[in-house]
Amino acid sequence: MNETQFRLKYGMVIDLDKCVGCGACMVACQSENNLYVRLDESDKLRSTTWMRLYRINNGEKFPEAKFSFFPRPCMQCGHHTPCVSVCPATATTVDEEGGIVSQIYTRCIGCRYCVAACPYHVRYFNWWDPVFPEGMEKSLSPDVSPRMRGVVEKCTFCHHRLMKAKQKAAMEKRRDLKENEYITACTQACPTGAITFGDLNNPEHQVAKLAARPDAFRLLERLGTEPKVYYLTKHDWIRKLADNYLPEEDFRNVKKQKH
Amino acid sequence: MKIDRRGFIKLAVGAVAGLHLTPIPWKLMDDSAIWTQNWPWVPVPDTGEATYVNTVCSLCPGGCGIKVRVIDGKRAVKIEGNPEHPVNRGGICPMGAAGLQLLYSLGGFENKSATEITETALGLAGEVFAPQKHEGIRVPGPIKRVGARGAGRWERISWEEAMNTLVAELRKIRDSGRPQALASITGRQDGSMPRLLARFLKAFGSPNAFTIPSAEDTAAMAVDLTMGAGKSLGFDLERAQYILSFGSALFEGWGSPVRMMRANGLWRDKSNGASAKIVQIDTSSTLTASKADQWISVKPGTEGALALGLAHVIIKEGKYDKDFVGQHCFGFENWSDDKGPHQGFKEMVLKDYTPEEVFSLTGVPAEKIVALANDFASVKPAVALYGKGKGSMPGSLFDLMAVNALNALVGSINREGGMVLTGPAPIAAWPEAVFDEIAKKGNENPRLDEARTRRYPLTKELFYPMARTVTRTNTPLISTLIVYHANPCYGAENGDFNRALEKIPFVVSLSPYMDETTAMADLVLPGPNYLEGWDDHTTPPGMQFPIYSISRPVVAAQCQVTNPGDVLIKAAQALGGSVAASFPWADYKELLTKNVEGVAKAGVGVIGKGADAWKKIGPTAPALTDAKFDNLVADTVWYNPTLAFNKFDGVFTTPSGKFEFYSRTMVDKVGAQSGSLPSPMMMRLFRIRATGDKAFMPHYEPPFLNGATKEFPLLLVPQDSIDFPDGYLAAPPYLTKTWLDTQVLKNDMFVQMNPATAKEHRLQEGDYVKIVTSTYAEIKTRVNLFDGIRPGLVAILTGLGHKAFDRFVKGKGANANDVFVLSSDPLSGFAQWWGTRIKLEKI
Repeated sequence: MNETQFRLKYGMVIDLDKCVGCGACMVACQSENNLYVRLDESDKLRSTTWMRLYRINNGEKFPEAKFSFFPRPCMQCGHHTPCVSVCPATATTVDEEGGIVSQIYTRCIGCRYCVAACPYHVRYFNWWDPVFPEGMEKSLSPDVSPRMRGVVEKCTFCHHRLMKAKQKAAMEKRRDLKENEYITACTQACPTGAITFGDLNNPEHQVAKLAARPDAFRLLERLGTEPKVYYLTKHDWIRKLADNYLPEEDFRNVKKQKH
Repeated sequence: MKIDRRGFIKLAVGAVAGLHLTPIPWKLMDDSAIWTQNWPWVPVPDTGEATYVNTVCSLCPGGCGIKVRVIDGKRAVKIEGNPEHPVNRGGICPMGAAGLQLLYSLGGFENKSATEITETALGLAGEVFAPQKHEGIRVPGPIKRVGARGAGRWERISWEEAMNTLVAELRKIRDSGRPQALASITGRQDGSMPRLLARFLKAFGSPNAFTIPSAEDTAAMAVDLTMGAGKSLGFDLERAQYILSFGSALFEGWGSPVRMMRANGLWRDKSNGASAKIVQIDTSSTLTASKADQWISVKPGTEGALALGLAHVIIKEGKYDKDFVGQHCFGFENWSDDKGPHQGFKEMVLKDYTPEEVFSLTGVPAEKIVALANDFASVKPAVALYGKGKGSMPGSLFDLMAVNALNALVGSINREGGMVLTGPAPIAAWPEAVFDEIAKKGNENPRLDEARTRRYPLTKELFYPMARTVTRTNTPLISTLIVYHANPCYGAENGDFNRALEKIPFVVSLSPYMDETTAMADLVLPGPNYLEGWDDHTTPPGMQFPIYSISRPVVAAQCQVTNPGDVLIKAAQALGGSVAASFPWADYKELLTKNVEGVAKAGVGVIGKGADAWKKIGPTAPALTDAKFDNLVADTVWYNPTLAFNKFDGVFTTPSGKFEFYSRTMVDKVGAQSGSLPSPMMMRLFRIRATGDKAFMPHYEPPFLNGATKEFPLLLVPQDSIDFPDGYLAAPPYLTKTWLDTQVLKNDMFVQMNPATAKEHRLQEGDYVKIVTSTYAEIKTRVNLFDGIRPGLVAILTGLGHKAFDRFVKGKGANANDVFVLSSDPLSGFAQWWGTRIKLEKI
């Protein structure tokens, strides 16, 4: 695998068996990142959600039918990042500090090439200006600027939190951040503790241990984009939905396949 | 100078070339780029110093600790979970995370429109406030109604005038000698406020304090009957290894929602070696059923029968905890007293609830029942939980007793990982209320809901019978109604309360929000949003140890508000006499301070430091040092992780001092009403169909079905989701982003049904249908197909179809409460909603 290597690699592991699909991650993300709300947010063609819950069904008949969820932040792809490679304005790059895929709104020309390129649908184009109901602009965080109409936005792994944590570490004359000193808003909010966040390159970090587990998998893994978001589940049917597997295909050893 | 052709071209070329060398076009382009991205309506948040303020979330009884990020002490910008709080340990639910949108839903304050000017021209003094133009949900200050009720025409008044109006109205009732005509409704069961409101009514002379029904009512009643009064039911779930849930929506909001979700994290934490097994008994594949290790589908309303079937197998195979049942239970074996021999639980269950019999009731195959019973009896610690959904509506008394009996059988009471009995937090007792002659006489009147009367002798409070009595009577039985933290105009099933409201001449709302009930009020005295005022919170439902916490103002009040506690104290003091004497506090905060003094005096427990509090549970109480109000405010929470597992001395406060399979309290109270044992006629009045001793033991009572099977072939069941708040509040805007397009789309909501059922009724995905009930109430929805729904059922989301609140929820979907037809649960009289038969008409 020829993933671009940086010293740090921030990543996430989501335990789908712990997750109960409550949406606290979504709301915490919206509040942290100043997302605005339209009147018909259940219409997913128009709704902007940096973190989104996809409901999945096992396709069985009653009484075997079950459902579950895939929480989907930006996958922060590490190899041939699809959105970065198509951006004509260098408005999105893979950040050298931790491999986070950044989005620079003032550079974005709104061509939406990246939206089309992203295999995970994590990118959203702002068709409208951010308008907040009267009074609610008071609850906007000063750490994140609301995005104007005409640009693309997406999950940044709460990059501003990384900046703050780094500043704090620098003040204390430390080079490295401690585990959990920098976590995303969704990680912090999750009531079940399903989300683990940290440095995938650091074997001491819980996230690296979980990602190394044999049952850890990623979405559309065979595209070879090396996402930094891993999932855990004991249910084969959930794991099988992570990619377009053929009925008889071996989905357990996908990591070993060559790209 | 003559300009020739050559000169002209030179000049033109020079100008074009020159223009490119000047910075003007580049500057203009740059400016326009900046200008087009800096519209005045794109907000630029003010920066400032960020601090965190700890407080407690009050949006549900869950009682989570939260920390609010505040900029420069003025603007709250984020709500996060407090990792040091014993309930949620850092987690937060989506509603809690969106709480700031309730605080700052302020739109429409200054907006004036043509209609308002017309209002002023009509000669109405003061500033007129029209919520139709009101984008936000907050009520800006005290307002009184100036148009027809519900028309939404209000006049802003001062707090002085507001209080004078209230006190004048109250004085009028008292002077008329009918103090019982004052009534109150609250949707809260925790904290001091509901107690204070009930005390106000009692001191005033009215027994008519009502609470919106919930699963808590059923739980409290079952505890009283089988384990003794004054205890509440908790569950040591974090340590449980086998969780058998009878329809409890564990992850949709049952108990304290974040704590339950946290528990799932612990049960599933393989890296910690966890291996808990969750078994969900549910009609359909609900979220909890989907997330459970095993889901067993039963016919609707037969959960209790399955519990008794499991009891049968456990007893028959001798797998019950013989020590516990022998020493600490009453009524298991046959017994006799001066009235003769009585049948015990054992004989009754062995005779009546064989796996074959239970199969015919529940539809669960006999071998599955046997296997499940063996599982439950062999894994330790195992616990059985009961609840129909998330608990926003009451359950069946006898079903709950049957599930509790299962816990008793496997000895899972006051055991690690089992059901535990806890007491209340040791807050200081309030000074005794005093009553003058008017109050004494008023309090002697029966309650309007007939609770605690011959009709419902064991029930502390009901709600729906009150609404029906008030509707039926022509003279107003209630002349003033105070509504606090409740929204019965939205939440009361089938419009019962809305009809009653027409007979109530004066309605006072203490709500900070323009909800459906407040919209129908005559006087609104808005209380603070939960981040603006002082309040307290007692143990959340289902917690295994007592908790007491204080919530505090995080930011300055955004509207002209007065704490409802202060409104009551001031009104009482203005009324004077014994009513004033019953309210000896200067203000509500002083009352809270006094409460904390009681905690300090008790001298046990821990303040703050609640991370993994369940691990700290031990037999001896930790000594509490320095328990001052300020300390409790700073750390938000007091708790007492003291639990003497496996000790049963004085635990059960029943007549026998044991866990009662056969409830003597029930016999005594029911019997006492009619002299000796109740007559068959009396039992019919109680709607109990079982006869003899069986009626006083956990047994199965089939649900009452509303509507003929032929005309109304489908059964309506509620679908719980934490993203659809169905209580006092509607969803704040952020929550609407979590809604799926298979739940709501544009203004339409979807009901879920099995594809096979849909085919039978010639329906397809996305079809528009009308739900019609046996009372011919109807709502419009669309159809979503899901194989997990039991054939014959229609699952409907609760919490949609608001007529009030903001544009984000108003008019979205339909109100499920409009199509639930209620009957009355045997003996308790609680609203039974799980027998609603419907038909679907394609439109």
